[in-house]
Amino acid sequence: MEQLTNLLGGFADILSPSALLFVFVGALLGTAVGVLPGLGSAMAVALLLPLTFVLDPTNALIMFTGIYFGGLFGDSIAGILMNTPGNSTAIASSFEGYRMAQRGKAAQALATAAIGAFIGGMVASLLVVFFAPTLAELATGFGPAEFFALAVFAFIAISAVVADSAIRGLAALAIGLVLALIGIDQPSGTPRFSFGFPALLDGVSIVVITVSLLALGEVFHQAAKVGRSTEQDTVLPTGRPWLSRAEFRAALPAWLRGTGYGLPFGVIPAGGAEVPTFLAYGTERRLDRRRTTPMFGRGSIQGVAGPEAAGNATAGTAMGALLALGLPTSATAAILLAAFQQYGLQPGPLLLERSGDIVWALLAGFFLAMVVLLILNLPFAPLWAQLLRVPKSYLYAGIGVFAAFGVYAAGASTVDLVIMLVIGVLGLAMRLYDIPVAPVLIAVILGPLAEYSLRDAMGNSGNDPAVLVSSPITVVLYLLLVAGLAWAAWRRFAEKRAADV
Amino acid sequence: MRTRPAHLSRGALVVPAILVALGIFLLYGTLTMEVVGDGGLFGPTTMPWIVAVLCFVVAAGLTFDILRPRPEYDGVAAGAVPAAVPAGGAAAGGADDAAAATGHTGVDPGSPDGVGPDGVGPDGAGSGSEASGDAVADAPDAVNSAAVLTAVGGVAAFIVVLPWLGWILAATGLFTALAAALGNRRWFPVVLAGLALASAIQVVFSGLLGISLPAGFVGGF
Repeated sequence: MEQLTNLLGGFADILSPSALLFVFVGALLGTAVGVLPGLGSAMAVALLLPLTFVLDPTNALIMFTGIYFGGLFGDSIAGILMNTPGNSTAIASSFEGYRMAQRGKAAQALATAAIGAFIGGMVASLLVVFFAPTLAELATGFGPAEFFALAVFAFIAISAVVADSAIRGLAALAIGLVLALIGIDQPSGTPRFSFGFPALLDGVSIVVITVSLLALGEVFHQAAKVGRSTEQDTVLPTGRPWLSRAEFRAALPAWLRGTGYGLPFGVIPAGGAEVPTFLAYGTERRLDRRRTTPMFGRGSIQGVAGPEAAGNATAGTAMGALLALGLPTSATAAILLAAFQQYGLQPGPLLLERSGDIVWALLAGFFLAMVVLLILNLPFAPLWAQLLRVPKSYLYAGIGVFAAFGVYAAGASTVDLVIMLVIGVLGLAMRLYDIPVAPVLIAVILGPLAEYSLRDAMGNSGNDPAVLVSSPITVVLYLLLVAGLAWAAWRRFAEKRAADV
Repeated sequence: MRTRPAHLSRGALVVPAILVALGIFLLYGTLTMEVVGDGGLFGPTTMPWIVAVLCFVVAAGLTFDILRPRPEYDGVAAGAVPAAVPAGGAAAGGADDAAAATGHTGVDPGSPDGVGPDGVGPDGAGSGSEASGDAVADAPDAVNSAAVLTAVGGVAAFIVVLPWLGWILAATGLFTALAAALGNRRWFPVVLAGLALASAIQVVFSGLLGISLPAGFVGGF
């Protein structure tokens, strides 16, 4: 029960007014960006990365985690009330949620979503507390071959397994890998692809890449869409935001099933919560068909409960994978990894040993953030929906100004701003032509790890490629990868067949 | 018959073109690289070679994926470049794959002028978006290029003037340009909001948190 004492120590650390303030601010910002379509926790954390220059690491990281969880709380609000999910992670819960709202049960749908997100996040956080140290211990034996396998696993999983089209995911991966190569090669000191520009010797800063791609790219994309209309049919919630005993009993199994789907997907670099939310939705629909009075299509409470719990469970275990293995499994986790690196902290097996106090405070922060988010979301969901009235032009102009500020603050250089513009236009092209953004971020963050561990492994073994599959851990990782590819192929095949019928 | 979605149209070939350009960038940079010390078999040039090959292979694959015939979209007139075809209720186009519904959930009226609605912001009174009725055209790649150029130009201009005008004025200009690109032409409130945001950032981040921002000729505050 060492974990419990550590966790209590973490609580003692963060029960200070300033830490509580950052938990609250993070929850507030996260819910806000979750509510607003087009914005997301990844963009919000990216825009706030410059704060790492001035804030104490614990406070900044607690705030960023609050944003991550908050994004998954808020995303269903617009989906339920207006049928415009704030994020792709809320698409699954919007189907039945909007139908519930149309039947006059908007308040109950919102409550189901908020409680589901709370349960999923809580269960995942508990698991992280108990298993992250074990996982980290297991990972302390990782050598270059294992880290290389981990990086390859992440690359292929996020680009080929999860993306709708493997070739589009790989395209994004390639772009990210190119960006990661610019700058001085650490082992040899060789300047690479800097072409005499001193500003490029340090490489393209991760702050610049994330802010340009996620924020500026989205601003340009919104400009590209000006003139298209979006139909909005808002259902304003009325009545009690609480669930009746019967409703609670109906939703509870779905919350738990959804949590079960979400947990493993946080550890797999599957690009976030979309896949488990859809799996949870599909399961609830199948179960519903067997009931005496099927509710799907007319606003089923289970159809909201399952996906919402799955989404936040994913975020929880994703934080576990990030802390214990240094493996980012979603876009937001990738940017959080960058935030750790800004402080000279390297998430992974050694983080718990070297900066245990920060990790345990952060884990305690998870629980506080969940409670704060539940309070912010359960009674106030209709208030959050008012955010949707902020005119788009002001919102995105503000985001653009913040992006420019963040990039300038990162290096105080005009070259960075020019790179921002170029990557922003690239982000526009990727959005217009359906190239996913998350693989770029994973590639930029894990690219150097993959390269240096490959070279280490080869250097240590006299260029014997067998070293890459010499340990049980590497073999297991590659086998998992093959299984994932097979599953993705089967899923696509099944979907195609279902679409043909 | 449906028109091809944007990511399968000819315009999408931009992406393979970018990949080829990146591949050439890597090839050129690798061939001219001055390797420090003994590179060895797995030296600083190994990964660039691998990534360059990846770029070319993916570019080829993506080109094939974009150009290959797709009976579900092309119908009889194979290869026709999608124009603004009235598709009525079929505007739910690409929603067959639920997971792909991230991009094009909205429906788009053909945007005939290519310019945003003049004078009125798209969200004047909150939900007052332009009612375009039921006549909806399925034109997924209808890109408002005037708006995009305004936004990109605004950022470019910001970069140029930032050292001279300083943060507050340059950022106010950037805000105004972006808001205008997004269709808001009510200059007075926009400029005022931009000025407020730029000043707030200056005060909070530069004044309180000590991040340095260019002061420009106004200097001092």
